Amino acid sequence: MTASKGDLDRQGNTEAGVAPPAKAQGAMTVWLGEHQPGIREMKHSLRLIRRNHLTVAGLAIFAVLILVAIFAPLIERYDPYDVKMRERLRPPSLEHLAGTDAMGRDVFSRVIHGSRITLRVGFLVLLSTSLIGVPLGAISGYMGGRTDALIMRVGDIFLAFPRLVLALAMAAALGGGINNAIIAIAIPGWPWYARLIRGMTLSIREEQYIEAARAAGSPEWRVLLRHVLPNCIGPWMVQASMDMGWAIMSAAMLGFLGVGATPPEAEWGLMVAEGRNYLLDQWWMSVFPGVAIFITVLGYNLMGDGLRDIIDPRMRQR
Amino acid sequence: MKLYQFIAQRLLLLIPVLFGISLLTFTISHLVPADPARLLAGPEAKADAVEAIRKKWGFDRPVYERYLLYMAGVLRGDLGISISTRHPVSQDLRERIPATAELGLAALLIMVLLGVPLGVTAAVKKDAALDHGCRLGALAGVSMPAFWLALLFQLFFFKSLGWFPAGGRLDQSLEPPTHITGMYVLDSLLTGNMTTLANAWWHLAMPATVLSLAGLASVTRMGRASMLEVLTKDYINAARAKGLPERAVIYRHALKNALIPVVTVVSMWLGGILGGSFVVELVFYWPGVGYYGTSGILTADYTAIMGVSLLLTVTYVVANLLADIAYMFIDPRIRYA
Repeated sequence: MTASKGDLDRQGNTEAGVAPPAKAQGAMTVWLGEHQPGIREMKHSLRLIRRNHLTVAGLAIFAVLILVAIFAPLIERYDPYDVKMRERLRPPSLEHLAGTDAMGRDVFSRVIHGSRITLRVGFLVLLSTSLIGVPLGAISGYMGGRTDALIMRVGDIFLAFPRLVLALAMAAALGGGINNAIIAIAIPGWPWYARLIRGMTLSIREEQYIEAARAAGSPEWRVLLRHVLPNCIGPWMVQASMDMGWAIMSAAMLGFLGVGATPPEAEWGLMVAEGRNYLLDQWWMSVFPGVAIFITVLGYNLMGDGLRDIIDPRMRQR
Repeated sequence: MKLYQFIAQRLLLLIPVLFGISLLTFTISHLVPADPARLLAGPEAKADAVEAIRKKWGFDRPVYERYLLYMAGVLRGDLGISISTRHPVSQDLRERIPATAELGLAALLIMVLLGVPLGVTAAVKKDAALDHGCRLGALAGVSMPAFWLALLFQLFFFKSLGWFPAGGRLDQSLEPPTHITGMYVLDSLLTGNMTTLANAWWHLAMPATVLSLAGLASVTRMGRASMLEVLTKDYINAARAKGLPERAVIYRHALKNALIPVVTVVSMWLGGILGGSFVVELVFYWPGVGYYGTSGILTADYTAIMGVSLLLTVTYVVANLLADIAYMFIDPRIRYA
């Protein structure tokens, strides 16, 4: 293990007998100096984000979604699973902001509660696609040759399917349930990540700092982990935030078709489906959960779109 | 490279992909925990009847043999028997393909015929407000869940305004036109049956619009972005400098070059149309492949699901191949590269 520059500096300072506060400050200055290009880049990015109102809107939607999910029990005005047959099919009013459904459950509370399911789906899909796709892509790009060819050809087969069709077929085969839906949505997604990371790895591999790391005797896996992958984070974030929107939309669609979440879960797609039979007279049951899906997916897409402009320098010049 | 060489090469590359698709589809549909022989025999069948069916359809064989049997069938056009309709899946699909083809083509036409001009206009009249509007509109279109939009359309255009029917392909009182292609719009046009033609259009309008919307938004945006880029090129300056009228510059010089990325987006969105057909056909009672697939999903009819995914995926793969060939027609630089 080699000590970082900061460690060396701190040791140097101790030898020179500098008092502890100054030592910390010294380390801080060094850290700042060392990371100056990164910090400048970050500041520039923040400025770009602020200048783009649509990206700010996307970030705001995302933040609100997280807050709503965390504080759901405080925002909900009724138990989202409490069946009250005497209060069924009430139109929106001050008492029930979004009306009640066929079982007398408060639609507003259910929509609020659904944000938790939605966030969980988005996060787990992202985690699983990345856990499969990122290592495969990195290995593919870094090793090249037959391994690369094999991984990429298998990926091509997954990519040959329309993504939704593959997710639907898998969900149907796995037999419904929200966890199976997550698997069904995640699996068609891995080649996108593998391709992205492979492309990045291929170009990073040729950089001089990689050669330097190798020359310094770092083992290959360490070079890959410490030097190659951290440089893939930007494009990964763009892909991830676009994908979260897609994942949430697909989960809702699977719920709508009856192979996603199972009743009585307050999942938005399922709620739209449950309201479908009452659509023409009790429109609120389907409309409000749909609005929630739309706004959430829009938030992710706005965010991903803005991030792409910021992270992809070629787009910046426009 | 010659055109036919290119096509031959692409067709060869297609073989391993198609093989992989069939393998993946087969694997997926065998994840189904239910016993297919029992499903096929029905709930009341005796044990020996189930055994007989198991033998007849080869469910007792090892998995790889079943795959080979299935593939031998697929190559003969036999996709197995649907558990819910009890017809051969290939026959069920053949009956339903025209409806989905009609809907999908209509959606594709809306996407291209509306999206490209919109994108070009937005690029030519470049200003900040339009810029943001275009971006927001495109992202909103992509973010709208198709099943929900379909319900909103029904609520608004059927219930509130009464402009369009809630679903189906034709009014109950009308006979379907003579079967030529199976697409009602085309058939009624070919037989000169104007009442049916109008009625078929009227039924097609809502589902096709819903199905096309997300793609339309993307095409508009891509068309605009790519047009903007092309308009900064030197050859556009040259065309303007030699005194061509602006219309000629835009339509003859810029548009053709701007179309290349648009073709990619269109062929990608075909996947969206095929996937979207499941929910849109369900909501609008459109008796096509997607509706069949949805019923298959609900009844755990794995032969039907396998047949539908195979059909849709092969369609998608072939369409992407056609898009690649289309590039060569649009862009001579690719042809001679």
